[in-house]
Amino acid sequence: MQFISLTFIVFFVAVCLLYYVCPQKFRYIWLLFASYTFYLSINVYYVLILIISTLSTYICGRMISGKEKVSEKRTPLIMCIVFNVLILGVFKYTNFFISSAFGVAGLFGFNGEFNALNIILPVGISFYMFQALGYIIDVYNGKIEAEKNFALYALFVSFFPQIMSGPIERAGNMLPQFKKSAGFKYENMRDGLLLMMWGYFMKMVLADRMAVVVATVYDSYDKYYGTVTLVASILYTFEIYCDFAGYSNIAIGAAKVMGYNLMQNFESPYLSGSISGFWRRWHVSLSSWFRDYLYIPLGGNRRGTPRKYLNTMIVFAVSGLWHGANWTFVVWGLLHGFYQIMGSVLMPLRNKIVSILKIDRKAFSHKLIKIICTFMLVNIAWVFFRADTFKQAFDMIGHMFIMKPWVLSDGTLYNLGLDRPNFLLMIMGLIVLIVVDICNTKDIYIRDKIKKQGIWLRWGIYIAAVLFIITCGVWGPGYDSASFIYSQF
Amino acid sequence: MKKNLKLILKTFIFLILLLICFFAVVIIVERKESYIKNKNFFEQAKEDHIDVLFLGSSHVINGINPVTLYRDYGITSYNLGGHGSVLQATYWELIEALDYCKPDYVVVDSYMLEKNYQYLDVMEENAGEDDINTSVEQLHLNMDAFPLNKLKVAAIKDLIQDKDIQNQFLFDFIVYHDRWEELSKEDFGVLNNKIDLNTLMGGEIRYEVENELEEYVQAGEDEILAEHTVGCEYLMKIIDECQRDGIGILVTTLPFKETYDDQLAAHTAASISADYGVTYFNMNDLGVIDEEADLNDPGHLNVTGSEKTTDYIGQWLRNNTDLADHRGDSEYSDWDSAVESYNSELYEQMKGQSNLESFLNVLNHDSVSCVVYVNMGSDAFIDEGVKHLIKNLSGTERIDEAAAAGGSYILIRDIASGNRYEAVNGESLESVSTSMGEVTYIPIEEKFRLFYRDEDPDTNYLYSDEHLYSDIQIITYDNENGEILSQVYFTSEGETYISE
Repeated sequence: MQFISLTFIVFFVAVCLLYYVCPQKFRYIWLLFASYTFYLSINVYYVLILIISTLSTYICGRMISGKEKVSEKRTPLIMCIVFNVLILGVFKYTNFFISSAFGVAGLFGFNGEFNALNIILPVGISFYMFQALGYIIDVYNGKIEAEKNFALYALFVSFFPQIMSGPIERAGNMLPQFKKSAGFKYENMRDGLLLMMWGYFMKMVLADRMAVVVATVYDSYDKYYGTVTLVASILYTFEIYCDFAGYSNIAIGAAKVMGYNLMQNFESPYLSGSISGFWRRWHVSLSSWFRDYLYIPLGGNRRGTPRKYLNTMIVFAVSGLWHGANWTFVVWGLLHGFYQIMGSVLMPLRNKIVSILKIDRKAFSHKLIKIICTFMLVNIAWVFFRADTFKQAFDMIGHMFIMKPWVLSDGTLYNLGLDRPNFLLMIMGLIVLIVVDICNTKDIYIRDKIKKQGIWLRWGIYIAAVLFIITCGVWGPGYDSASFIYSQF
Repeated sequence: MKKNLKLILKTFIFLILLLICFFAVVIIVERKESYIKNKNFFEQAKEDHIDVLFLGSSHVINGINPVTLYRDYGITSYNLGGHGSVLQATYWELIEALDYCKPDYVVVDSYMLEKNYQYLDVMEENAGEDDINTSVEQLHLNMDAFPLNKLKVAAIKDLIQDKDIQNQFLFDFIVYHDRWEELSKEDFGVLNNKIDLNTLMGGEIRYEVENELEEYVQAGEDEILAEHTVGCEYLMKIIDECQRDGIGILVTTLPFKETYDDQLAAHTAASISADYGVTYFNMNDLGVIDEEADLNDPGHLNVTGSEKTTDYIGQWLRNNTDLADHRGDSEYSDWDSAVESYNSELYEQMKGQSNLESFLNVLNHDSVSCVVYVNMGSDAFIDEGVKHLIKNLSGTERIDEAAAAGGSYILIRDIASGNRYEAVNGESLESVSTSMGEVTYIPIEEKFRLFYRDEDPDTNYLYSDEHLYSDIQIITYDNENGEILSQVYFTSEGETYISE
């Protein structure tokens, strides 16, 4: 069952109706049942992994809980982490490690042939496992008490709106909400549905449209040169944002309808003026997870500049690997680490230039240049993320900067899989997206503005938006509803 | 409590409004072909105006014109032929149709009887993706107009195997929402009934002439299909259904260029019909049409073929049934309007076509008189197809004389008087009587000839500086007042004729 399906809509409505009909103290049981039903609908065998991970972290949490001595707590914690990371490793990285080993062996003259093992990655494993690991680390650190109610904990790990692609929540935020099981609030329902609608717009109208152009160029990257390649790379930058932020908005909105507040995952990331700013706004739940459970335990900023840089590179390398079992993902992560380090190293020089040229840091032009530079750096990194091989990535980047601006007006762009109306719709949608993001950074929320309108205008906007999404959204025959990019991680 | 009730009421009203708007969008984006072709069926069925139902594939759509049948015999009918309809699809169209009307007679065409597959989205073992897509798409054309009900669900389940594709028939918005980018005025017109519907009661007329027909091996009269196919099974079901409901049934094979397998299928249809005591005729064996003129392509009849085929069936129905003649009945005035509309369309078609063969063929209809002139040296004289069409118009072989002598040729086909005047080579026509008045034709030389009304000798209709090198000219004129309706020039290049 995918978010982009009638089945999910029917499932979601049924779950919500029964949720509010259910007595408050049993609501979490109903949600647990619904969550497992949702996950079972994807693949029966995946549930076994989910149960094993849930059980192991639950038991570990109970074992650690109440223990004063670090030595008594550390062993179960490490065992549990190793056990879960091993599961993740087996499913996600076996082929990667073996093929890498073959690659290294090849450097020494070994010419064996590697046939990839047929291991299917359970959907959402990277997300729910990180969430579960975050829980036991929080228990270990004494931030939260271990949850005694297994069903409640199992719900925390498997909550259906977020199990496939996050946000990677914290037990401290979610468990109290599950215990309390909020009652029905019209505002929650309205805000949640509006957020879901915005998510569907980002995914169905924008991401899946951009995916067509991106796939056309990336699949035949050796045939495209110049501005077309640049446009495709920029569209991928927006595609992955719309795809993942779209998913997150649907997840957060769905939880909101039931009265649960999930953390924000995206905060207008492409309007960041620096790479560090970008990572404070992009996939916030994962970035903060790495900060809290990897970067800080590694020593963070506390052990001097060289160690800080090393920690940064380690975190981004792991982040790359988390996103995908391929060296291109690792390079994507390392590139971001490199950007951050260079940002720090060059900070004095940049400050000096600003000072000498008497640049007003608050000026719009200065902010715009910073945003554009950051965007382009992120854009180049995404090429490694999207490419299947380094050759493809380097060719794409090489082709990107060949000047052929006339393709913007000679109709070439309408021959990349989208015809003129679809291409223009995509561009208009992107303009709307950017305007909304700009408004959000200025604390102007379109949702709030709409809510303040009279009922007929408000309803008119709601109805028009729903009809627009289901009419102009990319779905139906030939559409792969399982194509949320981040659900593959 | 009061607040909750208010909230529930508001939500309810919102959902109703949303649903209404959604249905409006569904109607707007839906592909209109099925609606346009079949909307009148529902209207006529509601009025109980359908005495005969024609069923089958596109052979029926193009081969039977219910408006002609009414015009000539007063029999009211509807053409529910479906594009690419194999017999199982035809069966379900009958079942769906019977939900709305009970005709006195069903005429079913047996084309594609040899098809031995059940599901249109699977087809034969080696069917290509394009064939399957076309098959599914054509079923949409036939089924979309029928509303979603238990019958439609049963039909789709019987015709389509894949669950996802089944859903696309039951909720066609799944397929058609993508049409937002091609919406036209017509798509919105459906909301307020401002849409041009099929005015031929389901029939569709084609105007081209097929002039390159292959010859196929002839099957023996006793040869039938080697196996009992799905098509045979459903033909039997159709006959069963009609006989059970007391509906008369006639099985046909409408004219087309039969392959060997088609001939076997026709023989099998004859055999099945005989088993049920049902009349069957293979119109390919009856010499109903002129193959060189009446086919739009090897499989489909054109306007003249359709007229002849419909006439043949009309005669049979008139002679063998007691179907009422509704002409003159005020309750059927919309049928008279349909006849007028069809005649107007024919009239327009006869005024000019860019394709020479189509033009010559459509001129066989009596709505308009014409003059056909072929200049000496024209490639038309060595084109047997064109000569055949001219012979159909003249009723003589004199075009061959002109061809043999390398001269020019003129035909005046005057409908009002019933006269056909011809002149070949150096012959003249002097003061012949037509609706235009008395006219004279005098050939002078290759690039100059005279053709004028005697009352106005200064206007030469067969000469134009602008069309000096055109070797074929067709003039049409009104049967009643002789007013010139069109003058079309063609230049021949081999067997290609370029309209100017």
